[in-house]
Amino acid sequence: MKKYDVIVVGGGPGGSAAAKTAAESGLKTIFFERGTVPGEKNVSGTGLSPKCFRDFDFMRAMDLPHERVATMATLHLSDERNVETNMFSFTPSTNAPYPEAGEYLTRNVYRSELDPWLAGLATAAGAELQTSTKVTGVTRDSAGRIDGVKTDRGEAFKADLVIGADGVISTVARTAGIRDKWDPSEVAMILNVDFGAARKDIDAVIGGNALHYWYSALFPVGYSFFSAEGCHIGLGCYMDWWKKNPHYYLDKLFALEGVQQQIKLCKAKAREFQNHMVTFLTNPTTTYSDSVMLIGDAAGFACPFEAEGVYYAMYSGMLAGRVAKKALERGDVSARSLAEYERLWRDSPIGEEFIGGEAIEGFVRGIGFNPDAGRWVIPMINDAMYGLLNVAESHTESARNLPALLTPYLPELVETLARDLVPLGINMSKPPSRPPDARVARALKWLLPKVLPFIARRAARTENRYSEVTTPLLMEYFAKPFVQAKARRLEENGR
Amino acid sequence: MNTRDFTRLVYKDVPDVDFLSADRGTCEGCGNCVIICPMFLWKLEGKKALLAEDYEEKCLECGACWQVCECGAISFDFPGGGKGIVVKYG
Repeated sequence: MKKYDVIVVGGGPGGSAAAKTAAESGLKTIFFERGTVPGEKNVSGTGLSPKCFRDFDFMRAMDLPHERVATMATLHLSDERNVETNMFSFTPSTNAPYPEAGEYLTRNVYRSELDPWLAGLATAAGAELQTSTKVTGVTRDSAGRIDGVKTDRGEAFKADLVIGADGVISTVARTAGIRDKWDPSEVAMILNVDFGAARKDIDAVIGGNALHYWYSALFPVGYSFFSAEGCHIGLGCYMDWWKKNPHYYLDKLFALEGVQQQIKLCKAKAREFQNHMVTFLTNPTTTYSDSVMLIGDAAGFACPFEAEGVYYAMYSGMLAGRVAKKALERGDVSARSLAEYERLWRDSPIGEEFIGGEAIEGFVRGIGFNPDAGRWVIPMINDAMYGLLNVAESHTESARNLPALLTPYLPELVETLARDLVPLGINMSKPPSRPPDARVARALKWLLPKVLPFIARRAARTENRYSEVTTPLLMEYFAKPFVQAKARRLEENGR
Repeated sequence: MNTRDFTRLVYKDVPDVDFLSADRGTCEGCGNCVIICPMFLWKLEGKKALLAEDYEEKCLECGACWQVCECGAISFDFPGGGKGIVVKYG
């Protein structure tokens, strides 16, 4: 029987980061991977965020053969007819907070290249890697304390600490008694079709505009993300959302003309069908117990907005590796001692991400992953742009008609503003659950639905000329004080 | 386009042991597994979940059926080390 200081279960980016950190601090470390090589079991959205390169020095040496740097992201909107109505792009800000963030949005890579490279860094640091090995559960000593793991090869490995880096269906978490399976509302399923294409074709058609999101009235938000010689096209949603088989929605995504154009213009050929689950929590709660720390998806550390996982897995892996060293120096691996792990991740970018967790989930569930919302959000955005920019009538007439064009969307807009967007804005800027925030949200939720539909009803009664209502109202309550103030100033100047 | 055609594009070292099953006694026939499986490996027979016989060759090991099973009738465990799905372009 082999004895280690730390056993890491899982050879993904989180497991490798944990093993690397632990081994570098001098701990005798082993990590297990059930595939024949790391990355063989993993599916990813492909995009590594700039945070990965800001926070991990070793990541800056990353040089993978099929990387594509995404310098632009594009959001496409398509309506109930499955017709694309709008397209918006964004690029890194010239005022981005740090250099990498100013250079690109993501660096798109394949897990089959990233994971083995990261595992290589861990083994170079002295960690032992055992592949083709499934850990079947934690083991306990005669006193019931967790003292290692057993594998499907019939071997047992002993260690003072076990780090669970084994993904959504964490064997470590379940056999250590930390939790059973997640609630369906806490997990999402994401389906991908991987396509291969010639680098020159993707360079010509896509270039750096390598992150396309397809927000629709018919399916939960889809995406096509491009790497150097391929792309992932897919979509996903919470496990408790699916009313029909995922292919029903996938068919509609693939029927979109824009998606078809990308495939045809890049001469892309389908190579692989992929599906995987990711955690989608508002706030992870139990991430450690006696002798065990959970990291990455095993802990529920995917970002609640777009389920970015690799960065959070690596960051939590690094923290767990550090805490392992300190706990072993203290000679105390009890939950009380490992509570330091939760203190550290709460105080890190991981914890930051979950400050607005519930509000973000409200927004994602209410709008992002909700085609029913797309049925009014998308035409509303289109009508707003059309109303402002069309040349079908004189601009004067168009401006006059704009409010009437947007009035039908008011009831849903108001409800969504109060329910999803206001809490999002408030919670993103401050810690959650502070009484004044809740009061503001409640007040707005009460006030807005009363005021705006009233205006909308008035508008509806005035022959579709919203301006006949709003202009006097705006004049009375908003513009009049300014006009009066200006008149007073003029008067005073004249005096 | 029928995206079901893409489900042929799966690479596997087919496991020789069972890693997925449903207990017909416990199954309440909710059909969640039938709805969720992107490989169409489940059907309801006599109001009980029935797994395709050749599931070892097709299953993506995503665990979605196990995750949505309301009554805990579905058991899922990963196939043995080195076996099962091989994701080439994840």
